[in-house]
Amino acid sequence: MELPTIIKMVPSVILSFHGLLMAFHGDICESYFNFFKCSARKLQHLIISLSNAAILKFKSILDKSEWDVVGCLQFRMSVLALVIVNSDNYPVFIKTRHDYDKSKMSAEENMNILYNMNATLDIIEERQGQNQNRDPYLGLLNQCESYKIYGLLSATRIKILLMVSTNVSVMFRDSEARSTLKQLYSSYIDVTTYNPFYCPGSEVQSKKLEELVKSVFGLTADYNR
Amino acid sequence: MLGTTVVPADYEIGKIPDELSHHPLPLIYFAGLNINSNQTHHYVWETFANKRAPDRTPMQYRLMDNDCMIPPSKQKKSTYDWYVPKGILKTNWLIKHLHEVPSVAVLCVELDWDDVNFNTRKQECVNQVEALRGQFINRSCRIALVLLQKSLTIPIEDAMTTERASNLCEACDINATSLFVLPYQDSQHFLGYIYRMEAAFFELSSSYYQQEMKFIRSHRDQLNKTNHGLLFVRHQFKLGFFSEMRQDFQGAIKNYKQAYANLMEIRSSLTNIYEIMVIAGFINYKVCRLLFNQNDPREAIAHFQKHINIFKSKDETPELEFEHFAWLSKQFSIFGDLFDAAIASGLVPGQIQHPGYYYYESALLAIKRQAAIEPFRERVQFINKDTALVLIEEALRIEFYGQRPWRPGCQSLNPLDPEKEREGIKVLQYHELVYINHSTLIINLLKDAMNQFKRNKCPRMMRFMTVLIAQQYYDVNDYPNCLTHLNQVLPFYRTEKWKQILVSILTTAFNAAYSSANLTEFVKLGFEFLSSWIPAELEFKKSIQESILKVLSLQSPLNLKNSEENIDEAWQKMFIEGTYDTQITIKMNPIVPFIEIKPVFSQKAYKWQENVHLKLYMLLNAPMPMNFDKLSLTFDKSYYNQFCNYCPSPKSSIDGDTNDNALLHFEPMVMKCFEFNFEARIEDYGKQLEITEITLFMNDNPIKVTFNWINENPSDNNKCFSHNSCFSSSPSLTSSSTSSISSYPPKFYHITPTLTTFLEPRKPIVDLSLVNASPALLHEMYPIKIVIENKDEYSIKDISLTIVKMEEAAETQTVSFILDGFPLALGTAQKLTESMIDPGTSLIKIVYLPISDLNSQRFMFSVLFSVNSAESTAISSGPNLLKEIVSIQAINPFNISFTTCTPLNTPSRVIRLMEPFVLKADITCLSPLPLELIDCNVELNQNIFHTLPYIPTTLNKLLRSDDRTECHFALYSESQITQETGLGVLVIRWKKSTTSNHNSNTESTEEDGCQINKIKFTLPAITVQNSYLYVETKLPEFGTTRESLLLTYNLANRTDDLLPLSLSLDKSDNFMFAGNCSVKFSIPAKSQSTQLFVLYPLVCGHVSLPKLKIILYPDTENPIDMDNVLEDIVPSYLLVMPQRKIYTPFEPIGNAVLTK
Repeated sequence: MELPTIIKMVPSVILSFHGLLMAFHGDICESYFNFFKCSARKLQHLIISLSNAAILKFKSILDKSEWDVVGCLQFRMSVLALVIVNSDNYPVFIKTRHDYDKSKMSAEENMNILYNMNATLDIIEERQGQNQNRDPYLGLLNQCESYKIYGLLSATRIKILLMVSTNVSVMFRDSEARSTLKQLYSSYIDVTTYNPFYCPGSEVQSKKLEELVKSVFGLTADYNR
Repeated sequence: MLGTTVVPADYEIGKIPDELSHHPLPLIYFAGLNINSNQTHHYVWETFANKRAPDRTPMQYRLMDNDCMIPPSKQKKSTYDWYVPKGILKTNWLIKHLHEVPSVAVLCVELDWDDVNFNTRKQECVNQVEALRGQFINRSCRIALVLLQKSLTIPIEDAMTTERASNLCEACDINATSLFVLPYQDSQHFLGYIYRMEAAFFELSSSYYQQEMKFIRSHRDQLNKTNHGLLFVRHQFKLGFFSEMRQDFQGAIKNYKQAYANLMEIRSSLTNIYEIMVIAGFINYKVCRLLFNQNDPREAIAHFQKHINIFKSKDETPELEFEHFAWLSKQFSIFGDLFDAAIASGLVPGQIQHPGYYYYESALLAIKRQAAIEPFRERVQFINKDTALVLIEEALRIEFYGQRPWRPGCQSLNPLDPEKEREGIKVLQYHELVYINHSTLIINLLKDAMNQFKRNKCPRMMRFMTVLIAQQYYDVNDYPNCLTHLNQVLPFYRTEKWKQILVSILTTAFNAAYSSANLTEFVKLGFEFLSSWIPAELEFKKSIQESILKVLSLQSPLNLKNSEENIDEAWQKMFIEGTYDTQITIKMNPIVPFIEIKPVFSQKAYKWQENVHLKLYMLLNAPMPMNFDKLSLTFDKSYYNQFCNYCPSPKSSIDGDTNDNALLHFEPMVMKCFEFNFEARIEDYGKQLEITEITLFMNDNPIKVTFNWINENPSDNNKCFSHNSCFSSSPSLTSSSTSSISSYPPKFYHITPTLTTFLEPRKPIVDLSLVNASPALLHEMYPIKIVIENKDEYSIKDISLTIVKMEEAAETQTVSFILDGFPLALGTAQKLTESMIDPGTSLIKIVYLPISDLNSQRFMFSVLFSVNSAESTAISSGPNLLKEIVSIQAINPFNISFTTCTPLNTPSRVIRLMEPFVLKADITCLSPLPLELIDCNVELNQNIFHTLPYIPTTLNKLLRSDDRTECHFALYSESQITQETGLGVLVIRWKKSTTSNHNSNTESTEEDGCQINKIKFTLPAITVQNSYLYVETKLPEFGTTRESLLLTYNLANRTDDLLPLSLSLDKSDNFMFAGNCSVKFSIPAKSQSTQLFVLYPLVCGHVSLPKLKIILYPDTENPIDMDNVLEDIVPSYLLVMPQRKIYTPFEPIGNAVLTK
């Protein structure tokens, strides 16, 4: 993993320290480091001297953001499937874990997941009428023994469904699903509306989106695309 | 051998036994009732036990025989120290307390207080009580005594009854509260007695169960958790059950929950895991059911969720994995049933929280169960069936719930006997494989789920269930059922267009059709499968295509499944039996197309007698070339169908490849175009022509196939054929599809299908022309001649005219034009004539247009008319429109200049109050046409008046181009005007001269000339000055030398005051004069004074008069010199003639005057 990537994973840190040389406190670095399984040598590039006050400030930010990163990664490791459906309920983008790793999911299970995703449209359609507040994020739509489905419904009736496995014993926070879905949605907007060659109603093909989706599945650790 | 199958089939994993699902009710025994022979007894019993209204106290009544034995209570252990429990819950305990051990025994005796033999009867009664007591060994069951009495009412409490009652209680050893009197003949209050007794019985039974619970709690202190974990569960369960018996549901929930918690504390091992699971299932069932009954579904769901989470991952050995799944599946279905029952009694389910999901989950687990047992199918074949049956029957008669029949009561933690275990497990597997019909189980669960989803607004989930059911049918080779189910959902998934799902369903359906030798479905699904939209192996698709063609010619298809089973036979059999359709029609609209069609009319509309040109673009996206025999189009007007049939003759096909193009032969991914030309019928002009259907025929084979596209949205233009745009793969789709065909001709996508065209009707031949003579003159009503000439063979009618001034907003068109002498507003339609214009004639009308300014103006004349023909449609009879634009350049007809003059006819710009002046208008004609000036008048503003009584002037003057004429108006003003104010307007009425018109045509002059136009010119603006003095001069027109003449000045004071003035007359060389040469005087207000002078001219010619000088207010500081004023109003010259020579004798007279 490249080091800049690590920095990117903690966006708040980057924001507050942009343009500054910074130093990590050794301990925090270590734990981060183990987490991302990098070699110590690479980390040394980052350790540049800084005043004590800055370190303290940095530490507090890092403490807060650490949980976010871990939570987010756990969330993403358990993503099972992702579907982007256009206003005609036609899936313009489908990815399941099966597409990446055939060993982790049987073809039959894959089909079941797709049917379930498809069936979730029932719930969205039901919600469409009721949705009074204009927040596109619909929250948890459906929950079964082995999965949860989160959804987003845009004003143009683009639906994004995210299926997360519940087999992993992690408590998911709603905010993870929300941020992930919003990120996906803005990326979808980018690759469709800003692309003059995109024909509405057809399947989306975009390297950028693929990359993001890959990270949503937790296959790359790239937090910020 | 399997004669006793009924019993083994009863063995069901995780099943809730009847005694558990039975709703616990306090059990009351009735003794002493002889219902068969005694009418009264029968009546009493019926009222208690059978005629139960729902609002009655919940009770369970049983009749007690005399010899019936109540199961005796076991002697309780004095100490539990060395006691090791053998299991958690005994199978007979529940039944015992539900149906066998009563809480109250009611003894009914016929005994009246006033019975003659009361004492004897009493003794009988005591004996009966004793006998009853004898039946309860070690049971603390309550005993109640009911006296059936003949009296009509409750007897009055007198000393005798009281005494006898207490006597009786004492003798029977029962509490006074347990003695009841029932006057059974009091029919009015009978039911009330029963209810009250029932309530009392309930109290008694409640106290009995309370006591039982106290008893159970009492030996809890002697237990320890290490040895007696099982007892903790058992006791807590019993407490829960008794609470339930007392109808104390909250207490029951609490106790059951505690039992569940205690159960979780038991260390689970291979030995007892199944027992724990079973008991946990039972307790969970009880808890959830009670919670649902208490209307707390959330808590029930939460408890169930917790229960499942605990046991989801607890696996047994792989050999018994199926059992675990079976149990889990059962848990879900039981919970689903409970949920459903709660809904039936009023609970409102949600879209994502209803029994459907539980049934679905249960079905999924059942599928897993089936998969888990499958590997052991071979193994159990070698089992001894008789010993197996014995063991299974044993399992049904086991002492403790959930224990293995081969080791009952085993709770030791020691390793089990491996041999015995293996044999036992084998039997369980054997049972699972032989007696369990998994697919029926799964299908039933799925059907339950499907119904629930249908009910709770989850149509997609419901269809998913249908697919799963179909998959189950497929798995058990029930292909017809599989196909029926799939065909139910296929149309939906086709429109939903989730590719992977659709492909998966299609594949299953196709395989089912293939395996069941269902020819029609095979062909239909096969053709659909060929589409490049379906991502399948190209080779596989090719073999499908080949198979379809084979099947159509009544041959077996290729072996499409790589399976051993011989499907060929089925096909052959089908062919021989002839159970196939010889004609298959495939509706192409909804399905994934393997051939795409785009019909295009070359024009949106076709004109009169123009050939209709239709192109049909076709594209095959199947893997291999394909031949068709006929192509035909259907229109909404069937006459045209004959032109659009394409049926290449078989001869041409023999010729070979040369005219390959002409054939209905399609190569994959090569666009082909067929063109059709035809003439429209005359009667169809003016109508839409629409393609309604396109049909392709494949007739060469014994089985004929027709492919049919239907225009589904007639009237809605151009929507059909393109509606499933997602199927007709867009370029981006094909590149991603795994199919090797990527060379989709892009041109095909840019073709937009046009399905309708319009046949325009012929326009009627009618001409509109406008005749006018330029230029127009300003403010003229400009005549334009409209000529409508009908050259058609039909007469036209309803002719109306609209004139619109162009480049002007509609609202401002207030100007009106004149037609037939009536003014009409612009922009409104006006009927030109009532009659019709017959063929060959024309209508001529003159319209006068107002010309309001000099800019060039354009007017649009639109004439609407209809054709007077009843039947013809070829000619557009409706409102036809003719349009003509006329552009008009206007010029000013006159140029007029105004001058104001003094009365002396000298131009002057100064006008004074009450002093007359002259307005002179100089008119120049600018028009190239001669104009006749009819009259010329002024319309004056306020305060300006004519000096003379006004007579309108009539000129009747003919003006040619550049001719001039003048008009004079003598005016005065009555008030002072300080700011420049217009005098008014000059109105000239004129017309175009008729005399100049060279046309001798009288008709034309009559119409042309009579229009009188008015033109207005604004008069110049003037100021009117105030004056002090007005001087009126009286003087002869001319003088003669040396002849005296009289010059009179009338001085009028215009002020409101006395006006002092000095007047002098300058000396002049030309005249001698007599009069006041220099005088000062005053003129009173508004009056006049006259100054007379006698002049004697000395020279002749145009001579200047002596100059009059007047100074106002001469002796004040501001004298006013009147020179300027006098210049304008006082003549300064006089024409003096030479003296006539003839009258010389009169000369001295003249002299005399002079000398004076």
